[in-house]
Amino acid sequence: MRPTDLLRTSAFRLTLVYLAVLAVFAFAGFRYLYSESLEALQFESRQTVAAELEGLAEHYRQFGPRQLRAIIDRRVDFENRSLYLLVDRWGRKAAGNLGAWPETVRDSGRWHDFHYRRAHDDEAPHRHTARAYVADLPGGFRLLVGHDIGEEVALKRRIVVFGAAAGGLILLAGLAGGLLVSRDLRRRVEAVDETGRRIMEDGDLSRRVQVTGRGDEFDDLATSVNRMLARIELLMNELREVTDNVAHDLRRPLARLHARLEDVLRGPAKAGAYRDALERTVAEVRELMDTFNTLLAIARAESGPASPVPVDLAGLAEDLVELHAPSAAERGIELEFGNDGRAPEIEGQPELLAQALSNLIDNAVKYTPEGGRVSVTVGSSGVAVADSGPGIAPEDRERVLERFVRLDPSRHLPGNGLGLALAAAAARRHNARLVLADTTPGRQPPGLKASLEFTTPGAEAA
Amino acid sequence: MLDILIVEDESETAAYTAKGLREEGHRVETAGNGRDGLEIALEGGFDVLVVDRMLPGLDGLTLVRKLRAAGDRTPVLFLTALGSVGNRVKGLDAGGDDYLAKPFAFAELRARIEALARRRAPSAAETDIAIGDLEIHRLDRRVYRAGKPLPVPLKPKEFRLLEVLAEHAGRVVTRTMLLEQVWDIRFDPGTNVIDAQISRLRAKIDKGFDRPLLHTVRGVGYRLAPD
Repeated sequence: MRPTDLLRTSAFRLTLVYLAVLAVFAFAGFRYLYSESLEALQFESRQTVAAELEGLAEHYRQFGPRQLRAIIDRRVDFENRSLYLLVDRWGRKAAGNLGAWPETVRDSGRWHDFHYRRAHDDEAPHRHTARAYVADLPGGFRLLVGHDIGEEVALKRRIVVFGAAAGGLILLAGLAGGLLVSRDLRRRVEAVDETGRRIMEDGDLSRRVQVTGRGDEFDDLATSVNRMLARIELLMNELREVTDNVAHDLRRPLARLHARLEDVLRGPAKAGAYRDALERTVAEVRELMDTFNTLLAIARAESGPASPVPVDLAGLAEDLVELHAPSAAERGIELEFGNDGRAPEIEGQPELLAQALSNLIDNAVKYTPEGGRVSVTVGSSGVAVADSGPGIAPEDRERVLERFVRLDPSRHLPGNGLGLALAAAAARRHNARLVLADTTPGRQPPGLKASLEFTTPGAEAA
Repeated sequence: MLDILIVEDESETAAYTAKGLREEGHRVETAGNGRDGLEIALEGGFDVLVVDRMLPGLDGLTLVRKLRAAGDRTPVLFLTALGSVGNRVKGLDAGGDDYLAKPFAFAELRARIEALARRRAPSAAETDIAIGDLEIHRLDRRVYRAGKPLPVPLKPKEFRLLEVLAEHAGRVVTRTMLLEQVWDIRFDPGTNVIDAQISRLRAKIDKGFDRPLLHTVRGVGYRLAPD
């Protein structure tokens, strides 16, 4: 990661914005404090000068210039922060500790800040700063009374230096902190980014984002991303499997179709033969389409978006029994319906469940020999379809739920080997299980009992 | 004869379908994209519109929404490669009247087009329907043959089955149409299921009468008609 990259991160930009706002407020506060304290200092020095000037002017009015000169000389001796200069009408110095009238001070009756040199230390290069007021006295005398404000100036400078240093430090610390925080954030985000980029490069969905274990929001994000990746990986694998199966399963009928059509073409051009071949072809194509549709239904059951609605399992089962009853009766099979009124309350996709249950009933009717019985029973665990057919051996029960698996005894019957796979997928979608068992264990034939068993939240806790 | 507009971008499917429908004696126009389709449909005069869901320019859903917004109530049959429940619901919400998943059998399409066109006829709303000497009283759910009640009364679903066949009297109703309209089922429930249901209904309404009313149309479906 280059430093310039860091400057572009949103965390760093936020830091800058934050620092800017902070700086504006800090500066405004500093300005306020600065001018308030200056005001106070200025007020104090002016008070002193004004009081002294008042006293001296009063003295002059009462006792005249000679006395004023005397008092100024006395004060000069022990007062080194105050400045005095009394000049006569010709501008000649009469008394005071200032060597000459300062150049910048001209008007009477107002305040002046000026630099000066003391009368005693003419040689010293030292410059002092003073604040003074000038009063015109009767008889042409002008009196300047001032106060050294060196301390005030020094304080002012110290405040500014301190303020600038503190501000600078805060900004530096802020910037450094911002950089550190953005580097850390950037690193955490980059872990996710990097995983995403690698997956895009090589398509390896088994990669995962590292979870630091700190349990913070980035760990949450990483966990979410990882779960999403796991789900995508699973779906991709299933999709690949389905695609393989479809390709495999469709190759056989397509080859048969192809062979038959070629055979007809090689033979004599007889309309009757053509017609037969075409009719069988259309029928087979229809079957292929059905296989496709069922595969799609399974894929959707496993991964499609869901907006569950309440399902009336008993009503649904009863309707399906009624639907299948005539075709069962035609085969001499008695199709019964039982409902103990304790059907679990479930939510899901009624159409998918109906298709699953319909497949179970159709299978039962199909594999039960004439004169047999099929019963559909709704109970507290779900719905069971039990037949008096040959049953499925325990070792085959798992396998038979896979796509396209047909057990040898059923190969001569119509079907695509997807019925139970669809029922199993529908069950998984509803957090249910498709359980295969014997209807009458220990007897021959054992029969098959296929149940959709739902785990309701209450039952799970028990 | 019906005036039919097919809006379908797959030209071969459109051509075969149009040819088949013309051979049935219908007048067919085709449009290869949504914008043209909407323009032609808005000119009016069609009995049924056959609209593909996925179209270049303007998709089928939007086309039908715009058509409905313009006040056109011509029945619409959506064709689609997207056969899932959610997609069907979207199609019907947009103002479609029926939904057929691709690939479809031509006979299925034809039966549905004719059913849609007939649905505009007021007979569907009639309370009593008579086909030959069969009378169906929809309000009290009674059925009479040759002036007498049926010897074995119909169960509710059987009555509904007869009702749907009667609503389309004289026309072929396919197995999938029956499954949808009688049982609200959109999957193949298994071998022989509808045929057996029809046999049972036939036994109740036709048995013992010289002229059967419920006919099987081989490979397509069933037809309720006096001939």
